This record gives sequence, structure tokens and C-alpha cells, in this order.
Amino acid sequence: MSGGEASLLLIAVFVAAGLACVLRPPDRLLRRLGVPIEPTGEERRTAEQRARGLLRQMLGATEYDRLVKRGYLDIASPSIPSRLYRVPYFQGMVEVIEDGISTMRLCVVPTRWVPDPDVVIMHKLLIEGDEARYLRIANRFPAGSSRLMMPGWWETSRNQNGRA
Amino acid sequence: MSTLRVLSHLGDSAISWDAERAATGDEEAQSAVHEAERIFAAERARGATAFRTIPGRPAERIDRFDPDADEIVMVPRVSGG
Repeated sequence: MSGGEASLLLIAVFVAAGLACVLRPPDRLLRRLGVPIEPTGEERRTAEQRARGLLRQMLGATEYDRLVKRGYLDIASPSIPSRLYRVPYFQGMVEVIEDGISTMRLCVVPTRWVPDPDVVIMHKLLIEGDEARYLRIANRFPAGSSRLMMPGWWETSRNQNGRA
Repeated sequence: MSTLRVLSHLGDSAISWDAERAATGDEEAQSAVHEAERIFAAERARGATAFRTIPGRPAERIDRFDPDADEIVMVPRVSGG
């Protein structure tokens, strides 16, 4: 191979690599190769529907309806009689309630996206079946730590309005 | 019928088998049990945790595949958020 041909080959390789970076390979190809990719909107909707069905089946119709109405599921601690874990239906931290008082918040998340109802199932199973490990994994936050931090101008204007 | 459910980004996927028929030597039922066992091992290797669930009772974590369980649910790997 002459020097000119080698240079042309090198340029062709660089161009091909550049095109591969700019043009994403089709999802179908990635899936076939086993590369984990984010689900499409349609897949997410189907997954949510399936997950809602499974959660309803696992909780029973009454408990599921209560969860939808309240927005959270209370799970009794298997080891501490006075403790409840309040699991939100949609994304958020799990509140730990002892004798009716919120004592801390826990954050445990799946490493890949799963539908919200499956996240509720995940918390329920981990708390009921492996509470010690759940607590080891969880990042802990003080109770009420999810409060929105308001900027100074907001607080000032609220105080002024209050005085007026 | 027994069922193994795996929670994933596509919702749960499920495989069912008949433990009683498998115990009597039925090849099709045994093949379904082996497939469920293979999925169980593969998901465990990916960091999933398995639970035996019975309606109205707390879930129980299991480390080995139980062909006699009514339902096994596998949750994906989790971490502190």
C-alpha cells in the first residue's frame, strides 16, 4: 500500500468515526446488541399500564384505591412496631414515621428507570422482605427536608404582605 | 400455576410454570421451570433481589429459586438516591 492510499484510508476511517458520532445508531440495532437504552414514550406508557395492574393485584383493589386517593402507601416496619414507612405513589422520598411523628426521609432508587407503580412495589418488597438492607442502602435526610427553599425576595414580600 | 415476575423498564415480564406437572416428570412443565430458574439466576447476577409473595402476607426475600413458590417477584438493583 502506497503512502497516498494509506492516507486516504486513514481519512476514510476518521470520516466514518465522525459520522458514527453524529448519527446515532438506530435504537433497534442497539437493542439487538443488548445495549441498555431509555424506553420510548409509547414503551413507557405501556410499562406504566402493566405496572399499575401488577400493583393493584399485589395490594388488592381497596388498598390500591386508597393509595391512588391519598398519594402514598403506609408500610409497617417488620422489626419496629411503632414505625411506618410512607411510600409516595409518585417519585419522592420515603417518610419514616414513628409514633405518628415524621423522624427522617429515605431515598432509595432503582439504578434504571422503572414505572412509578413498580417503584412502590420495589419499596414494599424491600421493606417487608429485607428491611435491614433497605436501611443500609438508603440515603437518609432529616424529616421535612424536601421543603422548597424560597429565595429571599419571596420571604420579604410575604412578610410585607403579612404586615399590610 | 407459579409465576416469576421481573420488574424492568418495560413493566414486568412474567413466566409461569406448573410445579405439580413438573414434579410428575412432564417435559414441557420441567422446561418452563428450567427457563424460570435461568432467568432467576441471570437477574440475580445483574443485582436484582427476589421475593416470594403471598397475598395478605409480608414478602419474603429468597436467595435460591423456589419452584414451589406461588409467585416470585424480582426487583432491579437499587441504590441510595
